[in-house]
Amino acid sequence: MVFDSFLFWYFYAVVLLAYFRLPHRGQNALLLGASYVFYACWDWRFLGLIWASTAVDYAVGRGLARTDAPSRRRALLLASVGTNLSILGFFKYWDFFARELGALLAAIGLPAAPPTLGLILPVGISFYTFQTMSYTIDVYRRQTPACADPLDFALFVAFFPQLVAGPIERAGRLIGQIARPRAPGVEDVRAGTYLILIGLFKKVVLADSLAPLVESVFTGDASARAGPEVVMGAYAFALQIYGDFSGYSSIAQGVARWLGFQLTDNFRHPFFARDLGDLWRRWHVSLSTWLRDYVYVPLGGSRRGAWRTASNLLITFTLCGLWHGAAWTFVAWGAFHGALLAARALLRSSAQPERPWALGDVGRAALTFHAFCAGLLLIRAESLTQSVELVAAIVARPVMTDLAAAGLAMVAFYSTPLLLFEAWLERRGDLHGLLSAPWPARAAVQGYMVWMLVLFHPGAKSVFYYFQF
Amino acid sequence: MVVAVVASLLLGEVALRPLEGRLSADVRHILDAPAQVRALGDAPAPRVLFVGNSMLRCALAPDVAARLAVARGQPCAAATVFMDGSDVLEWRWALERLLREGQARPDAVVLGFTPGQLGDDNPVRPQRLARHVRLGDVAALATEESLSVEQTTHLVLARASALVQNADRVRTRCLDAVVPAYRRVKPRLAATAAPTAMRGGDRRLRRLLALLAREGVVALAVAMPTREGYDVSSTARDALGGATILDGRRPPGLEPGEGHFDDDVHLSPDGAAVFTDWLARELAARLDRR
Repeated sequence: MVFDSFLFWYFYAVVLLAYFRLPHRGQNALLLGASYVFYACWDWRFLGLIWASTAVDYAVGRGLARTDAPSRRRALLLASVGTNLSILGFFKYWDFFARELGALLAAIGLPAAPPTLGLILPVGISFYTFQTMSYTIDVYRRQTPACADPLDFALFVAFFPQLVAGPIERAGRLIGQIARPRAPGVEDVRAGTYLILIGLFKKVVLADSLAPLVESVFTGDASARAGPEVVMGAYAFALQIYGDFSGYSSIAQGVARWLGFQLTDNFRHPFFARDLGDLWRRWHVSLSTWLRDYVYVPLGGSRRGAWRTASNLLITFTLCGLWHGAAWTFVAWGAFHGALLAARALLRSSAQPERPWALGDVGRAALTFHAFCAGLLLIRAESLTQSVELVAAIVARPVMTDLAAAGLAMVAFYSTPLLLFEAWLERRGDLHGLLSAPWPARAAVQGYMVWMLVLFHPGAKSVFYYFQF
Repeated sequence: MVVAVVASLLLGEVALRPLEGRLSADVRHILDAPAQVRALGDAPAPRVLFVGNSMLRCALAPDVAARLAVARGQPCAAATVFMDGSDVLEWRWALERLLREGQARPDAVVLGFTPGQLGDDNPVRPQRLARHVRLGDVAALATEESLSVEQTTHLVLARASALVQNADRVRTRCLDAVVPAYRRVKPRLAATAAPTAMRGGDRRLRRLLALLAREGVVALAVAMPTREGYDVSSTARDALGGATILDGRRPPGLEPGEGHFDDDVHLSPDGAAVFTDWLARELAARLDRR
């Protein structure tokens, strides 16, 4: 049951109808039940993992609230982090590490091969385990109070709008909203409608329309590709995953907003970033802030000199790559970003302060976008070998083909209006600036999106790309 | 603002309805089909209705009725229903509508086919079916084809809205205008789509033949010519058990090397003349025998 399916909207309509007839506690119970049904529609067998994660972290939170003994607090935290990482590690990484260990042992002449289990990756596991871990770490750090109500906590873990692909919410932000009575008003409905509409536009019109272009470049024999085809494929993939994931996040925000919840803005016009650091403050914000707060800062952050900062960035982003997927292509992608950010940290003494856009920033933004696209050749390729072949094709076969010409035109056709709109929002300095714009501007933008949704719905759906993470 | 968006959609809906015939010759033809079939009602028997896709459209000369009359030595009425890219499922529902609403019944229906168009494996395309299916038929179609919630909802929306129904044609028109080489690249992009689950079977064809039998219409099936040729499998022959099969894969005089093909599957006007004369002779013999 995905957000761009009619089935989800029937489900959501039923939830909404019941929701507004219930008192606050009843609403929370309804949302929890609906969240489990939503997840069970993916695969009911993995509900047990959510329940295990919920039970352990609720108990750990209560335990942390009851004790001040440092050793006991540390033990409780380790139990929570250990449980969540074990679940994640087993289901997501077991086969990868078993294969690689087997290959390593074979390379040194040992025949032992650890068994691979062929496990299915439970959808959303990377998101909800990180969310519950952040809760116990925050309670341990006394940055957030332990949640007393098991129903509220269970809803925090399983809240269906953001259960399977984020945004990864912090307890301090979401549990408070769960615990308080909610009364969504006209503004919530307006904002929610806008978020849902732009989310569906990004997913259905942008991402799904560009998906065949990406498939045509990255599937099959990379050595036969022409250079412009690879460049077009990288552009198309950048816009596809942006449309896919930011679209999903927007719909999640809109769906939650109608229920009276405000979720984190997960994307802040990333293609207007003026350097890679800026990009990571705009792309998958809930993950990058998670990694900042729970990995990068505890490693020492930028407090211990340029070299230590650089190594911390490299470690953090390599882990970021591993979070995205259990394959060397993902690790290489993370390390690629880490290395570029580390180089930047070594070459520049301090972060640039926020400043208005200047003409030279267009070039910086273009350079940042191309660095991002170069990284995507790693993450989208089927293997590191294919990545190398694709890069080689750019240099060795600069021949404009029908596919490249048509693909570049399609990329421009589908993305230019959205990027112009985002440029306008960027200039206003307000992510949701359309909501306060004059009604003709609102009607024109939303009318365009609706028309495109009706007329440029490509028919064939591609799954939300980030579900595999 | 919501009002403005709804108003713009309604405006689009109202504007598109009179213009949809101009979106493609295919739509124009589908819209005209009921009137064509109705016109058969005034003609003397035998009245022949040709049903197929662009392969049959390109293979039949425009004066097919005249050629049929020459072959028979007597007048003969003919009408055509061509739906580009269609298969047996769309033919069946188009015929349901035409026989129900056309107020005329042909004596014979000639289906132009290749084996891939007869089985149950082709995906259901709600936008296309919406042209032929009434709202009252949706439940029956959903049951017969085990349509998903998505497909059923899409079918209902396409039935209700000309915008939804014509979306793919508008999209193709727009992309043709702004994207270089779009027509050439489109098949390659379409080939990247995930394959649909193969259902197998020939229930769609059997339902079509049952419909014609119920209406007392003679069913004839013509295996269409292609440049490469193909086998008409025994499975297809079994499925077409209720219909007379005419083997038009390579009629005498039709040669790929003689400029008779525009591409791998579509005949040129010269090829159409050869094919139509052959078909007229074959049909004349069979229609008179009945």
